[in-house]
Amino acid sequence: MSSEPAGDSPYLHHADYWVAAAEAGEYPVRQGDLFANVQTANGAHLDAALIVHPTCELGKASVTNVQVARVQPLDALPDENQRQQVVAGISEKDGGVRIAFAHTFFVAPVEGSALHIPMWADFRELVLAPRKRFTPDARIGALTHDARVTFIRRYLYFRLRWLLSFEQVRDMEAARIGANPAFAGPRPDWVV
Amino acid sequence: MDSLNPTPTAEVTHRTLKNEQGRVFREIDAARVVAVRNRGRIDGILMAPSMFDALRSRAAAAERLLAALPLLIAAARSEVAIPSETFQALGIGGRDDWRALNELLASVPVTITHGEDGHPLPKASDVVLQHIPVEEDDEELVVDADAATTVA
Repeated sequence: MSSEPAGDSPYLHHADYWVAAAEAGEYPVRQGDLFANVQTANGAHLDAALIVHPTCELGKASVTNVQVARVQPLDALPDENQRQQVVAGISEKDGGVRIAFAHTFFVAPVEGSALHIPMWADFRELVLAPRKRFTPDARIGALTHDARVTFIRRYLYFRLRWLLSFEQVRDMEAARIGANPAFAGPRPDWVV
Repeated sequence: MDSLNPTPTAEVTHRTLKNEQGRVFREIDAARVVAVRNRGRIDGILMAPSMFDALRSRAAAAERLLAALPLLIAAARSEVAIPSETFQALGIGGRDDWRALNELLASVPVTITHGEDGHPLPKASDVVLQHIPVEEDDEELVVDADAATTVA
């Protein structure tokens, strides 16, 4: 069953982020999937990273490195108000609701994994990492199709400052997936 | 007088408005809000530009608050701390709980009115998007490594 955020809320309920572990094997590695202990192409180490690279590129032999965003625990932010803004993705000021820290994407805990903590991905910290390490077996969390819509929506705002609605992004994804005969794994139930 | 009270404190007639514009503008200057009366009923309001701007600004603020109100009320009821300057200013706190905050925002419809920089957002939800399927070319670039080194 699909889920969606309430109104313009940037994020889904934390329980709707990840494909259940028992079903994750059916899903190929995609944009938005979460990995732990990522070695970057220049030898640095990241405790966790989220794939930002377009999914359709991940299978190409010529793609040796993929773009990932650094993921950090929420606890890395000492300021309580900033933590709340990252979790909410928005803040209220003068009666207006504004985007907060557009370069962040709230990452819900993955139950039963080493990353069972609230986190956030930093779109400002994109790095390259060898593609061969990003396998389904090494994956900590497979992002649900619905959560990927929120990911794309957030990323679009960060990159282009376009705030599209969840429905607009989902409709575009539905049309794209529906027109792609090579789409692998279970399809979202909103694709006709 | 409350500087934003739009109640007229002076009146002019249609005839005065037509024939004595200088006097009318002096009335607006003094009273800030002037009613125009015609045959026993008020059929127009004149006001100083500063008053108009202040009222327009207050209306915009009220509209913004209307968008934030469901979230503020829900947060106050559930006693969950939310990132709100209004709550901070009023000393309204709540428990710092990421899970409760996420669940609150997943259930209370909010309307985002401003971008990260504080500017009002355009209504992109009115934009009709259309996906146009296209065939992509899988050909890869062939890069001359020596030439690339030269550029670097």
